[in-house]
Amino acid sequence: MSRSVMWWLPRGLLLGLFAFFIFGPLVNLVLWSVAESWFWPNRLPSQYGFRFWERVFRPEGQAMESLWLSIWIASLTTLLCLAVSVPAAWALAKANLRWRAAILMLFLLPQAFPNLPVYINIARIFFTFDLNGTVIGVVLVHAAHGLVYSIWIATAAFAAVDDDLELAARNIGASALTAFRTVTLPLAAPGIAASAVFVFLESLDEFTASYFVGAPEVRTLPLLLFSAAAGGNMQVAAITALILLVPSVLFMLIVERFLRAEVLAKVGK
Amino acid sequence: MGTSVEVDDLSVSFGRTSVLHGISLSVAAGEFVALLGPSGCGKTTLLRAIAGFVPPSAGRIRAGGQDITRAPPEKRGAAMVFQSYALWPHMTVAKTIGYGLKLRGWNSGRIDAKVEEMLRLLRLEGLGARLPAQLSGGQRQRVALGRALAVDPAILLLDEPMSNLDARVREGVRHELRALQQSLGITAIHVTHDREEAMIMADRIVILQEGRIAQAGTPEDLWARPASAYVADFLGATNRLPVRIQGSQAEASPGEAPLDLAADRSPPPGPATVHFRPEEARILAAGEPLDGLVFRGTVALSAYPGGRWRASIRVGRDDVLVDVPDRLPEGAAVRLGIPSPAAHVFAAP
Repeated sequence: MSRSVMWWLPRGLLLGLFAFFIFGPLVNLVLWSVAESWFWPNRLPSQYGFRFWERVFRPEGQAMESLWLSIWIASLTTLLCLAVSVPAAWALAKANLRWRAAILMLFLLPQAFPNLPVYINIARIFFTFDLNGTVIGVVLVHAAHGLVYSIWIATAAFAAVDDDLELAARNIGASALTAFRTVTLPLAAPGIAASAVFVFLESLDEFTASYFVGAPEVRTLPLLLFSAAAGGNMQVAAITALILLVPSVLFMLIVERFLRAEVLAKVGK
Repeated sequence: MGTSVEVDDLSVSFGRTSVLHGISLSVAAGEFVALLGPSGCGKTTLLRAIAGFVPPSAGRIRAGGQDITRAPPEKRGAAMVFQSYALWPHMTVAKTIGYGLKLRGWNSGRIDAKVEEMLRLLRLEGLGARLPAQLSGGQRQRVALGRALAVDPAILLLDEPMSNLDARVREGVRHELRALQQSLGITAIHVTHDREEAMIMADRIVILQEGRIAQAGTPEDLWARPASAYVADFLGATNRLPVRIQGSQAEASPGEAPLDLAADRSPPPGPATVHFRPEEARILAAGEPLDGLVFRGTVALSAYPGGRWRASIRVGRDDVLVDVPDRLPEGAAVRLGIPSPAAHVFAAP
């Protein structure tokens, strides 16, 4: 009897702790989003309502505009990353490049340095090219960041496709391009799709680079969230954060379904 | 119909490692040739060079008289069945078999008819809509074969396609594949490390040793007259006993008559080794004469693998295995006879 208590008690406590860490902040967000007044020292809001939701989703409210802009920028970033990473990852995985490891490390470099100085410098450079405050500028800086994910994951996805599968197609009459299109690409597609999702989400959530390169002209959802929170408008900040959460959760579910362990095991090999 | 294949002085190296050293081989149209050898002998590399997957560092490859040394894989008319089968996990059986036909611009009606025909031929009826993951090992093997045969290849390349099948299925597939190859008249080159498989299926066997051809010939030829200790060993003559060569005679145990060797089969005088198969030696009665080599030894062990008894006999410091009709008492002194045609004598290594 006592053994069974010893068995479930630590596990139950641990699970409860995890649940609290994950769902505690979420509950707080939801509370804030429906709090019409919540003043210290009250533990809970004194008045509930959807006034701020209505305000955020009002046509002249900036939230929807920012959401669409964020999605537009994330989509462009994803397309740009895919256009670079699919051919690059194929070459890295299949073409027996001599400096393969070095090239893969190169794409990790942007992550190796502190973000702030890097983005301030990028902002300075973009200023001379008139890219500051433009969508293209934000897309470019997001893409530099997203390429890490897309190249590494797509390389792993291509490497996971056995060479013989492509040769089997060549063998019975397919040109190199046809074999790639009909065999290698479809088999690597789930991994590439997962990398695209990562890039999309990273771009959607990205704050620092957007702030230095994009603000104030390009107002993405995270920037809106920041100015709302900085202005003391916790309700709008909470609602914006909840909106940002939707695509993240949605795509994570998709990734979880597509990205198999075998593909992840090839990362960096 | 098949076409002939000529490999002329072909060398292949990977980086600094040389894998094939000047292989020359000619395969007639419609012939079934087995490339036999242990892993690492270069047999798969030779096959992949013919398929166009591995660029040769020297030499030529011709198919039907046409030089294909530098041709890409898709322009060679050779279809390969891979050891791993290399089936596409995302394509159904019907799509897989029809793949090559679609590339050739066939309309879907014709493709469907041909795929049906292949499925019937390979006894895969009703499985057209399945994915590879939903097939048994034997079925996958037949799908891989169907994909290769559907395009009517001039040359069929087989890379140990049976090594992943269990023994009972393999028996049947050997005969089926051979019958199919003969009825279609395709030239087939088959890589294997299984001696029995090569003997049963091939018109001609090429034994490879460290990137060179050790011996080539019909199965009967190689069986009866292995050219070297390596070939004899590979073809089941795994027993070895030391002999002495005096002139053109081989001497076994003292007091037994020496064996006259044919001039072209006699190694130089001095120490030599006789190779023989367990099933070709026999135990002689006292004083029984034999045209062959006779050794004196004692029975170390008898075991019963089924059918006949297998005795381990100690001759001097060596142990050899012999198949005998009856159990031999352990410790008994026996005369072990190797008939002349079964005794393969080579210079000692």
